[in-house]
Amino acid sequence: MRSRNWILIESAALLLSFLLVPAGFLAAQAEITYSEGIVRVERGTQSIDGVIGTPLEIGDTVVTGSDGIAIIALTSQTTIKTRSDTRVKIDSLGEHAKVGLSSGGLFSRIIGHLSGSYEVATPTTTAGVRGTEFFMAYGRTIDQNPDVWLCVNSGTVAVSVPKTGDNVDVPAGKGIDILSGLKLTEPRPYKWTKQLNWNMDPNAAPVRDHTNLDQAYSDLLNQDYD
Amino acid sequence: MKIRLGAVLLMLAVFGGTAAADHVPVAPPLPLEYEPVGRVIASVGAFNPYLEVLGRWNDPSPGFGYRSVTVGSYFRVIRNLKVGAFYRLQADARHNDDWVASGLVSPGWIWQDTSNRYENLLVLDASPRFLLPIPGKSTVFMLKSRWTYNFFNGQQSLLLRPGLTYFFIRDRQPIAEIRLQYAAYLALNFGEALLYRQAPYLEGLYHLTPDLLVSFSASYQNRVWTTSSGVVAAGDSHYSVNFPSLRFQAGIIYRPGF
Repeated sequence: MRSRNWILIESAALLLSFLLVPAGFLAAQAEITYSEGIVRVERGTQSIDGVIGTPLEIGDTVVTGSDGIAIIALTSQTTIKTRSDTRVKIDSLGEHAKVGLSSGGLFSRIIGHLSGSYEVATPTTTAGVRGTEFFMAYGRTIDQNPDVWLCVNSGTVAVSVPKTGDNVDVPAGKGIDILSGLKLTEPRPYKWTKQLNWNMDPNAAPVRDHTNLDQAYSDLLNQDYD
Repeated sequence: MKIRLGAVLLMLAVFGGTAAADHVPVAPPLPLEYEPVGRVIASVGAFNPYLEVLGRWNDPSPGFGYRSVTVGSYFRVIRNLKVGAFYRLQADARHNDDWVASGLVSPGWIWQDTSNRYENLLVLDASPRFLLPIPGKSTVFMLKSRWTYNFFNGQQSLLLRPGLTYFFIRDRQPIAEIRLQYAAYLALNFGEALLYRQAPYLEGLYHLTPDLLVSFSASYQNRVWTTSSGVVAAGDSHYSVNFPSLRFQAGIIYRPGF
């Protein structure tokens, strides 16, 4: 039978270990908190159903079908919501969370102010934040690569294009079109972004986003002046 | 003797001709017309509610002549076709039958004063448009076709206006446009000329913001006046005369979206 002092020492050590471990490490495993329609998780050579409660690891890719939505708790402070036809890979978790968006669109919400960082990357662009809510999605492919749209609901997002070294801060209420994923445009308000569904609580309201990103482009056949 | 007879015949021809043509309106030297216009074209789903206020300043006549207010809406049936229905209230619109005997100077003929005559019109529009498969994909062909019914005199007309619009695009957004159009107005149930008005247009538009545009256009208008009912009643000969004019239009267009 262990002594009472030994139990106290063990308890103190356990408490201390919790206190010393970075907060991000405690949330180093992500989880699908909501899914709708076809949601798959690609892990190595495996492909599993992305149902509610599915744990996600670094290297996993979440893929949504044409009717799919997934809400993922990346950390205790960071939640993402995918649109349909989206591929998002979890590149890193913990204090410096990072996801890679290779198709579709993604809402990101950071609650409070991160002690670390959070980034959404496309092959050409990186959007980094510490506390904000923003949306990033692929647009039309007009030049060589698809456009990347980003708009900010709250906070500020620092967008950079590593290949060109260009960067810009996008404030709340504004968006940018990164032409061909390479050329930054001037942040400005876009009407279509008002239709985005930022809700990530399926118990509060529908979470599906129906925004048609084609609206982001001027329709030359819809110009009447007289 | 022969010379004297020739002179008499020449004088008869000149004065007789002038007298015979008194009932025929004579076109003034190329008049200039200035048209300020304001338009609001909103976007509500597939509908484009529309409001237009237009005036026409005729030079050298002082003050606004023709003026109109148009309200209605376009509706996008399919991507390449919009239809529209509009009501127009217009004043000081001139018609063939406004060429009347003056009653003051016999046998003088004048354009009667229509400055305070208001007319109600129904306008139906169907305008197919296509993006031309040329490099840049920034050129649109549109055929504006408009049927107009004037409740004042029952006249029906059809406007056919093919046109090309080239869009100057920057960062995926149009910033300016240039338009070349030809307008043909067909008289469906009045007058003696089917093509009673025609005009080539050159227009430029600049997007101050995505919602606010300014436009400038120049057109060479050709209006054909044919025999008025007054002339017919007087038993004078029929006529068909062309009145050209140079029209400049400056507009501001507001396009709110809801």
